[in-house]
Amino acid sequence: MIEMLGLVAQYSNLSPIGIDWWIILGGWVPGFLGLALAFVIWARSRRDDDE
Amino acid sequence: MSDLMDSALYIVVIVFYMVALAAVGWLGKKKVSSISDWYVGGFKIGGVVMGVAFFATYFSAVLMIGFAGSASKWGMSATVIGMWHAVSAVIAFAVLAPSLSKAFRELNAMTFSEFLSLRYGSKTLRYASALIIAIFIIPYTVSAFIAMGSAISTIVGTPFWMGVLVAGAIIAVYVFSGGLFSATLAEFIQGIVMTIAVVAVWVFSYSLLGGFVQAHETMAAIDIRSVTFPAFGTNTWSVIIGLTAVMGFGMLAQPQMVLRYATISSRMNIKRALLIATFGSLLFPLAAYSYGALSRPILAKFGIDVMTLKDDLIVPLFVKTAFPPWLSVLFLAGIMCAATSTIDALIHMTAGTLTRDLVRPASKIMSDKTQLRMTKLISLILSLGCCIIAIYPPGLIYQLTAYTWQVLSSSFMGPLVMALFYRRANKYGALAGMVAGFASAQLWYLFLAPPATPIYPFFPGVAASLIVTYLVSRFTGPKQA
Repeated sequence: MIEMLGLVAQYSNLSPIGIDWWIILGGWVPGFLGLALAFVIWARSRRDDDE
Repeated sequence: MSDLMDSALYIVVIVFYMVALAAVGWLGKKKVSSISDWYVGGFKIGGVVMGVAFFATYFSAVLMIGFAGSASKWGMSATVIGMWHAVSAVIAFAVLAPSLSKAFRELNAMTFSEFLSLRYGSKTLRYASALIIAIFIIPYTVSAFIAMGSAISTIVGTPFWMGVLVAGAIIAVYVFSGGLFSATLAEFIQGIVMTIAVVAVWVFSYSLLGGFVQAHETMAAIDIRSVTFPAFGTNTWSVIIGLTAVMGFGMLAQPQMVLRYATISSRMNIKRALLIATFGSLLFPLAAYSYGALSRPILAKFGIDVMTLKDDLIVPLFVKTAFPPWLSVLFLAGIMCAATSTIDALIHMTAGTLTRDLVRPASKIMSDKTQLRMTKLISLILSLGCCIIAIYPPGLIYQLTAYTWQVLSSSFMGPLVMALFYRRANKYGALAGMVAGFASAQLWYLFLAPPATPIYPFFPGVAASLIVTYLVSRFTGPKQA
């Protein structure tokens, strides 16, 4: 973990988990947002069905 | 002795797999009583099965072996490609599927070409789209057989032709008997097995490197580029951006994928499929690209530098070098599932297209019963024919498959999207859009594709297809009052 902090200090675009922020913001965030959206659509359709 | 035990275990897995899929074929056969059952599952396939079948068709052994091998060199930035697949799945099920499944049902369309033909009222569109599918999907199917045969022969040590023939025989049996019913049921089982396999390898890879953050530390120590996004304009940058678009958004207009998200039984089932397909489309490629990237520091521990190896050889070597026997067997099962779940969709779709859109129109009278028999026969011939071509592949195969997805999405994106969202879209627009998309993708591929420029043929192809379909429809359609 200490080594990681050193790397983060050395490379400003590295996140604390050791992966570039560009990878997280450009790929992981859209992917998980997509999954969250799918969940919301599915949950709303279930609620509408119950009503 | 240990090698002998391993080989015996592999063979047991393969035999068990064959028996399970033969049972699926038998179950499917009982459900097929009409031509609609074989082609589109009678529009009765449920959301859970179709959700899993969707991502099982989407991701093949090429991702588990080829792209994961390339990710070994690209690093964690490859996961960006995979994460956008989840966004594409949302677009497929939340945006396209509701209108498309309604249109398929109302038109009683059973193939992608038939849908275009009936929506636009054009036989030319039917023949042209069916020809494009036949020309590009058959070599693509052959290349999927080649990928599977190579993986099996490397891991198990059996001859290449044996792996190909085993796969061909399994697929021929269950697609022949049950059409889309059997294919989606098999894909449901395959989707679960292949997901368990890649997730197991993903978790195992992180554990070998001491955990999530520690693994990234080790990667950074070997090469900082394996945890950073490539610099703008570099070759790796254009590959990552290009593949994100081609493999993600290009999927939406692939005929075999359209048949998965356009034939679900109800709106509620579309929502169920949306959730499952999005989850699978996020998890599977994230795991595959990640273990690919992690294989570099793991193989480095065994003194192997992946940068000196061919991409296709990295993952099989990773399996042989670093995996315990139980994980190798699970991974082999995953590869077989991933390969067959994609190939069966291609065989099913192509057999349907050849019979219904090319052969049937040529013969003046053909009863439904004869058509069903002929489609089944063509699916059998296709499965075995593709196997034989895979064993003796002509060089042209590799040239055609290199850009199959790009050509298909460039040709069909405009006509498909405009059919659903632009009421004035007409046959002239659809034909012009298909020709413009096809021609621009071809020309770009020949003269301007990477490395000449950093832009993949997909971008100009899809743009031309959408713009030309819209503009020609607008200027040739009836004037609005």
